[in-house]
Amino acid sequence: MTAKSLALMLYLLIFSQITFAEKLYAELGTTYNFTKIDNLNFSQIALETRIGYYFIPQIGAEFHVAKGLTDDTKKGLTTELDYNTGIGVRFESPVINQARVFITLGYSQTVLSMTKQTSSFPGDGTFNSPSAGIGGEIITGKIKNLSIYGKYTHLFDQDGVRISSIGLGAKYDF
Amino acid sequence: MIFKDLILPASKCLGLCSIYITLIILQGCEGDTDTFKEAVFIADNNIESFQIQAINSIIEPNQTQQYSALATITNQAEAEDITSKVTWSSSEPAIASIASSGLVTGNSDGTVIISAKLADLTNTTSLSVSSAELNSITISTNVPSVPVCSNSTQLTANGFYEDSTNRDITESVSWSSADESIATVDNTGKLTALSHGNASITATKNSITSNQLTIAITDTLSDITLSPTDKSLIENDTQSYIATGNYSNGQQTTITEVATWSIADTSGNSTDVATISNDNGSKGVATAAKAGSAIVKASCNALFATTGLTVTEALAVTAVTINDDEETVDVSLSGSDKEVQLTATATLADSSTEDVTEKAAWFVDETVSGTSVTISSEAGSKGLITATAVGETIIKAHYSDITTEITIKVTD
Repeated sequence: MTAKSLALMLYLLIFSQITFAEKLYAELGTTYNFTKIDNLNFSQIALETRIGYYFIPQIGAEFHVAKGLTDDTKKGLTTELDYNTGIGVRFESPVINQARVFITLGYSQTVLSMTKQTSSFPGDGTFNSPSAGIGGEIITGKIKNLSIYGKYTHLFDQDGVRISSIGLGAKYDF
Repeated sequence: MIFKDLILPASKCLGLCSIYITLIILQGCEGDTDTFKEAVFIADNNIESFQIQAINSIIEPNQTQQYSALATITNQAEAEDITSKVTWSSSEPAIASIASSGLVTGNSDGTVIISAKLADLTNTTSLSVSSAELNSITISTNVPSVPVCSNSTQLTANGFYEDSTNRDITESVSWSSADESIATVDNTGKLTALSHGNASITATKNSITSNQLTIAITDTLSDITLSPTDKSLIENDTQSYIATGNYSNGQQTTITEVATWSIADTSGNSTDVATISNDNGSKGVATAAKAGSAIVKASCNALFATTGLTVTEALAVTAVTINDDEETVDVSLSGSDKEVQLTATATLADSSTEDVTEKAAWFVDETVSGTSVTISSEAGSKGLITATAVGETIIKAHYSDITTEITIKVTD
């Protein structure tokens, strides 16, 4: 992650805490990542965690990081998700029938590694891009403040390389 | 109240949005796409290695020369041209620079290493730039006599320089024919035989004229025959015609690429019933446009041959099925059924059927399934599936605005 990203992320978090800090939330889940490079499709499973603040009701600022758990090999090329991290803003709908939908807008960095069977080429690749996601959340009611979410996130799309993910996990509102 | 409930949240939202927009403007979208795509290109196309080649290892200042990169493909005898895929570079651009297309330009005397790189594959060759004076030119061909209207014959010009080097200068000399009614030579050294006689050819560069090369244009063309004859086509169908030259010595030679092709109506006037190509590589390929009758004509010099062509209206396609409307096809990763030919059949408005396997567009529907098979879109093998992994894949065939699908189940 570049110095510019870090500076802006810190600015965003400090700005949120000082001015708007009202409610913290955290997520833990798994994502199924899709990476399409020209004609080849790769997929990886990753573990993702996310923390955020609702600085006004239904709008939160958040940070996430995901680490790949599995790799995928196609045509002798193995790809792994080294990590995906990013910051963003989450916009939620009101809760209706114990459920709500949300969208996220942010900026993410995905680091993939690709290796051939006979060499480590081409190695790591970094993909930075604005990201956007949409999902739904069901408030279970069995454990207070706990909800289950599912979402789709578009992470990168440029020059024939497309990265996206679907995720499933639990969210806890502190 | 209004300030707390409305203006304050709105200002917070606006503030955050402006941070997000600033972030996007500062960062944009960037990634190591080229390196990954090159690795995928090599893997997807089964490229083992590649070689680079050019006509000469020595060029003159201000002269250009095209380099090409030819890939060796696993289980494929024919090399594949990947010139546009590799990254070209010169060790000393002040001596010779190279464009991304592989076109090198000599700039000053010296020797450079020309490199081509594709992912982790690299190849190099040496190139010298020399301003040595041209002393003489020798032109030659390995074909001493050429039949009239035969395929173009390649001539070669070799330049001998004051530094005792010699090089192919075929494409940098000016070619001339003493009698252009007998033969002509184009800028690339290709000779076209037009009529019986002796063709006297020379080449010139830097005021130096080559030896005179005499080529006998022999074997007068007796007549031309066309095949197929009296063909019936449906609208939008194509048909490749072949013109055969029958020579006075009894020899027969295909002159499809040399002949001039035309289509007229039965009165000899222009028609829009069909078109026929005179482009190199597709000469003699007729395309039916609308119902009617026409005459296909192939000519060379004063001789020509004709044949009738009837175009009928295309019947509407009411349905397209794959493998007689089967829902699934089972294939295995090993054994004889690793490759299976799918067949697409169109049902026409009159209830007749037509095999459209080669006419249909075949593709894997990756949006709803995995990719456990590949499908050929090459002419002659369209619809041929090859199992690559265990799983299910949906294959679709599209023809005449109708798309149909079949599920392929791949087992071990």
